[in-house]
Amino acid sequence: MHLNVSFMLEDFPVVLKALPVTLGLTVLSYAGAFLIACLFGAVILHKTKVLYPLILVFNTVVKGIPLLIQLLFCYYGIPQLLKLLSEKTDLIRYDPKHLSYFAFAAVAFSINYGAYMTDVVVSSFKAVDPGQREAADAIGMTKLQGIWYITGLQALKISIPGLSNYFMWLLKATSLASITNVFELLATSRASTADNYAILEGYIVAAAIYWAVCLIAEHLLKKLNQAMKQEEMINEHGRTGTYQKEAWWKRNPERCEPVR
Amino acid sequence: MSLSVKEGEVVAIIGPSGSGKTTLLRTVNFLNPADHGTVSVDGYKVDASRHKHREALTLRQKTGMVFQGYNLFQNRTVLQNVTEGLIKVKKMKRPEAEAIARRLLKQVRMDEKENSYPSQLSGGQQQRVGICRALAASPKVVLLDEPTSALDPELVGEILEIIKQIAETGITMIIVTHEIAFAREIADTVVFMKDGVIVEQGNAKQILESPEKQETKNFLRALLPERSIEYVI
Amino acid sequence: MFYGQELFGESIPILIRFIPVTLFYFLVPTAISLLFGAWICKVRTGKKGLLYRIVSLFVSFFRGTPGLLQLYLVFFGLPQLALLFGYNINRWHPGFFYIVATCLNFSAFVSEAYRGAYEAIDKGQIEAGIAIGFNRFQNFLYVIAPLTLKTALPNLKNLEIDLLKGTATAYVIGVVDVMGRADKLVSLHRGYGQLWILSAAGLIYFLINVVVEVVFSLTEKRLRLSERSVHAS
Repeated sequence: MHLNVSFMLEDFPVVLKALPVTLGLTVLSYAGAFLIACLFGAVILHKTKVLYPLILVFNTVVKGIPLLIQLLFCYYGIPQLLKLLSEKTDLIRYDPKHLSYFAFAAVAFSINYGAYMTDVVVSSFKAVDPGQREAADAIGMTKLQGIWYITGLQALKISIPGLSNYFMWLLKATSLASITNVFELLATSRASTADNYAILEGYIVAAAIYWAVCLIAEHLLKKLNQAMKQEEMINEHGRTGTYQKEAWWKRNPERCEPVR
Repeated sequence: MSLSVKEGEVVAIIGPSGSGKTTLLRTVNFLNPADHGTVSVDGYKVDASRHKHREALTLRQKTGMVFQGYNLFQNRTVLQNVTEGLIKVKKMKRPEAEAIARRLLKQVRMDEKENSYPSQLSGGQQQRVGICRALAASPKVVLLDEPTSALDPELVGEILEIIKQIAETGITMIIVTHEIAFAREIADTVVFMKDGVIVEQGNAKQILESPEKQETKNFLRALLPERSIEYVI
Repeated sequence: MFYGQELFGESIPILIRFIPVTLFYFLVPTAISLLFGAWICKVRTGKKGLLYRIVSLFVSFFRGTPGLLQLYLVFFGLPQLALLFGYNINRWHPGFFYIVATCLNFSAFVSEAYRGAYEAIDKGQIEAGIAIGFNRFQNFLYVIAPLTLKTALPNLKNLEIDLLKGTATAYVIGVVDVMGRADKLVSLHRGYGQLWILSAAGLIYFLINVVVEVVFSLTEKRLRLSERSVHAS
């Protein structure tokens, strides 16, 4: 086994240039997924007629089918949809030479992760002490005010461990986009080695970058979680030295930490 | 059933657990809307069977509520808990709201803790803030749902003392309580409930000392000796 | 974009024949990883020596890089590694490389699920096992393993379902399972009715997924039932 080490060193900066694509795809898809999760979560918590069962079915289907198939579905399907739309309306112009495979992949990741993150949003809201919503109602807040000022923030805090888990998964999952013509880290590493048959070397370089990025992301998210926990600790055993006795009727809110 | 409360009257609702006292209280501000019937506060009448959400909101602005479990906003400081309703619901300016809040907090001796978060406070302290929050919007009627039953026994006295002081200012109050001796002390009217219906209501002294109905007698006999001893101490 | 719908019906019987292949690539790594993961967990919860460091690095790498990339690394790297020892495995079936890569990846995740569960179980149970005279092996077999498995089950369920759906990526190195066959059908029809072929594949994966979920739910239910009957007796 002879690894071409000098080539790997040369290849490193080339592959590293694709890191912004991977990170951009991750952040964009994550934002989309979070938006979808909030919308779907609102429908599920509100038990809106018609939409509620529809979303449950949709989420079940999305979670039951491989991400790869959804990715390919968007890869083949969205261009066809765009073509159809450009024929029927003047709103968009379809240009097969300038298709954003990046955007198509982002749509697939957003929908897939949106379905999973919906569960986090729903369970976090359910974990907020119901008394908080009642108190907001009792002082005359509207439902939206209650969510915006009181329960939403508390739910967000509860959901942070779960949501950071999904960020890590998404970061790695974006490598699947290399199959659908998106030149992110993995695809770039393969392309950069195509001329001199050092395929393995290219993948090793990509693996090193992924590993480092994941460790850094994990470390940062851990810091965030710790900061949250610390704040809680100060609240619970504050400088005053007083304490709150756990009231018997308060359900211990189940922290949701989904592991996929 | 029907219950009418005059302005400035203090009404205590008593009865065995599960008798619907809390539910009755919560129908007043539509936390548990009644299936049918009307709720009227300060001349504002709402029909429960076909009420709009907006009507419930208006009604809630005319009432203040003190919860059994305090229910202070966990993500807000003591001061913010009291000003929240004034600023967000009554659209009051912040300095104005804070002035009102500080005055109330001072009355219950919580002014030094205005920047603490609820989880830093003991149950008694939290309930004192809860009372301030209920009073902040100068409601027409204050609803108190077993305000002391989640507290450690040694803290019950101070909260009851505060409630007594507030009652003496002439504000209308409906209080669900298990403290019979306390009810006798502050209430003008006592309502005895069992199995979701009002069994007996009337003058506090008359109901508690010489009730007419057998169910009331049984309830008080089972409860009074133990409770009165506790209160003497 | 809706043309080619006849391909949906046509591809289903073709793809169904490849369900056993997909199940093979799901069950073999499962069996190996559940055992290998247990060994990793044992090392990771034990003494912090050299082996501990190596295994920790292994877990960190396979959890910190994409599974697809690991598949490529094994597919291109393993033959070169084998060549060092004088074996030529270049022509071996791609499925072999998929299984190796998946076992490495999945064991890392399974070991973490075990570790989380092991650390969560009540250590008093282990002490109780020692107290009644179990030796270390018996204690592991009768006390630690069942408790850990039961606690880890919800996480394992999620991981298994992920593994099942992950088998779809095996086609990138030339494995012909349900997804691999669907990909071949897509190329065969040169882009005609791709969405319908993909939908057919999606439906098949969905159905397998439902079966796996039901199996896990039944297992969970049985565990809970057995626990209840133990409490009752």
